Amino acid sequence: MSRLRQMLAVTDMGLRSIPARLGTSLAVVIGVAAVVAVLVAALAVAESFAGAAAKTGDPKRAIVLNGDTEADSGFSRENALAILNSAQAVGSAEVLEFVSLVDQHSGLNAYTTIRGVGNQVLVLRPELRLVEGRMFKRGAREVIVGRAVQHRLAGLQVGSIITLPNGDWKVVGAFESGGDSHESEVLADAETLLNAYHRNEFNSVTVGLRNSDDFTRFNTSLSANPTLSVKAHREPEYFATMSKAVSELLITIAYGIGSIMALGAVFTALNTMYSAVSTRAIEIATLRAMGFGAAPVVVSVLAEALALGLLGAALGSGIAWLLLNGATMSAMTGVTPSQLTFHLVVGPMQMLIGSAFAAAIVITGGLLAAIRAAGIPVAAALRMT
Amino acid sequence: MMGYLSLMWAGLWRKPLRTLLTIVSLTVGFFLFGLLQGVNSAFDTALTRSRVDRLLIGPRFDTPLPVSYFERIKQVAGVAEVTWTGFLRGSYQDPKQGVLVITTEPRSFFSVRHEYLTSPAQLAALTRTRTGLIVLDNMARRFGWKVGDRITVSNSIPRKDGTSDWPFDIVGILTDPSNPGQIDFAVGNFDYLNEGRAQDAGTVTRYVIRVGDPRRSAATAHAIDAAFANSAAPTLSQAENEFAGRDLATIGDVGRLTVAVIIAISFALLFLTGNVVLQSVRERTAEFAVLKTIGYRDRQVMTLVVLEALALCLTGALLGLGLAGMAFPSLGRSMTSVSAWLGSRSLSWSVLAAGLGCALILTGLSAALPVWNARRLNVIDALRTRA
Repeated sequence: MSRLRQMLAVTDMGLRSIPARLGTSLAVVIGVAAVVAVLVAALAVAESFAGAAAKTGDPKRAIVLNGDTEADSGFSRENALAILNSAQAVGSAEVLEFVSLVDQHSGLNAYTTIRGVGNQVLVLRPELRLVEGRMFKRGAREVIVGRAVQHRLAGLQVGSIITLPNGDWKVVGAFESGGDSHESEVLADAETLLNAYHRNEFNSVTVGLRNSDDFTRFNTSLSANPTLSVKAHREPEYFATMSKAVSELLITIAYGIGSIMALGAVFTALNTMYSAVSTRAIEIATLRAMGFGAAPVVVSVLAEALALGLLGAALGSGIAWLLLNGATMSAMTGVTPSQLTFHLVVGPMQMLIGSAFAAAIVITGGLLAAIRAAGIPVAAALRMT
Repeated sequence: MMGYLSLMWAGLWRKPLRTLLTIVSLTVGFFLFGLLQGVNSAFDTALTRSRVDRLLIGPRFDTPLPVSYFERIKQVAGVAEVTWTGFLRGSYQDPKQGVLVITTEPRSFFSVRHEYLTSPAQLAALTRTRTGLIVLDNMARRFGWKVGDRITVSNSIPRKDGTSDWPFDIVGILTDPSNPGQIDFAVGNFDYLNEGRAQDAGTVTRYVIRVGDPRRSAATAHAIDAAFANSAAPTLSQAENEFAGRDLATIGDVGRLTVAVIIAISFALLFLTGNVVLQSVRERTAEFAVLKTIGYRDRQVMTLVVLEALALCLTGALLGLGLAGMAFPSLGRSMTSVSAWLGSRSLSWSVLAAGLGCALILTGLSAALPVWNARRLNVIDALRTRA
């Protein structure tokens, strides 16, 4: 009991004297804050991205490809028809091309996908709702654009013209689809797009399934057809796989940079805590002379370090939250060269990881200083006066 | 000077542990700075090399573009340099041996197309010689041409004199090391073509421009097309290497990300060193008072403080950047997904220079407050506190 009281008393003394050592303490707080801000921000980007990518896709739809990604995949009209027939349901044979545009805010180059779709697309993707203008006409050089990409890139308002390498196309409508990756695309009639680009290969076929069990039947009938060498994927699985590589890269970068910065901050913490211990040397020696044990001294140094570290963590998380939470970002899905637009959420999980990093930094730094504090030779320290 | 150094040295090692820890923190900070800035600059090198900084401007419809657009294109925001070309296609000796001569304004052409290498003397010869021709090395080998030869491109654009033969004098050879499989071509003077041809006088095949910032080339392309949208000959501006541009966009805005992290690091380092210098000066208030008493001027005391800060920052920067230079090549190897976009495998000198520049700024900022304190130091008060 008295041991605990000793600890509390020494810790309290230490914490109260922080304002007297404001400068050194601030160095730790800012150092830790920088680490935490970078880490929290990078993790938030990675996780918000993965979350948004996961939204794309309906388990009751399947996408058929003969390559790893839609962009790599390509098959003939006959194959596309055979796939649509196997599905015995609604489907859309689709074509991908690219549009070079300009980012509305930064003025940087931006690319988005123009997706040629079949005429059943609105039945196939009921989440796709026209919110402005009208649907494109078959055979006309007309497109509809997703709200997300419309907000992000310049020159996509209804009525404007977009220039593709083969000529000018008119934007006649805008659609929403619940913030999934298709909302970052431009849609047009597949046949018109094929003609315009002098192509006759489709990139993918998306079909509706009657229920999720139907997938097995559909897959079997595809493999039974000797003219086809294609693979069907459930939509959510496909989009999750595609975005995984990107979010893993982001997480690796976050921890990589975060760890190096943390290493630097450990030395800052060590510096600060050593200096705190040496300014308090006489005080600590006096306490030891009065009969206080080594443990309360160690605890008090660690508690002080932890207090500074958590303050830094709160500051860093706060900065990351202020700068990023609710902001819109766009990143590559890995699926196509078009960017997925998503909203950033700086959540408690990232802040917790950031705080754990902060705690690890200051405890590593504080522990060495604490050991030194406990080992202060009482007589010598007191003689220094 | 020696006096300063030994005083500085003594100051630094007054608390050796503090100095060492500070230097290690600075080293880690500059290490990260070096890596991030290195990625950034290697990326820029790749940008330049991949020709995403160039736009080709041709006619949107069938109306060829007049040569007079040159001045207006030059005014468009984002355009760094403009050249224009007039293609002259024909054959050499045998009608089946096709030849392409790109006529242009040679100086701007070789500057915009910086991957085509020729000597300044040969370039000057081309500018001087109306009928001059600089030939791609492969093409010269194929036809056995050498400097000084006079050759004739036949079956080409009709001339005012009724023939369709264009004699040229070979004045130089050009190489394109970046593209060994380059299709054969030669470079001639636009004026020679323009004044000699029977039709289409005053029009170009296309303009080639170099943009200042490759990441903003699309905006420049749009601006050029908008400027000529309502004229008799509307333009169609496109990136020369759209594929590379797309790959580039896939990786995103590397610069902005690295800058954000670098700002965070700089803040932390500034507080760290600023505080260390401040603390060390404060502890030595009495020593500085003694120095002033024995005749040191304010300036000399200030110099001492700045030198100490400089020694800390420079040591940290040199160690950190040195480590980054050693680690950078393996970073490129380990990150296979982006390494194709790192234009250089080693840390460039400009990154080291930028790092040292940052170290100097850091020195200035962190020494500012302590210097101010040391200046205001009242000798008598300072000495009295000691007693």
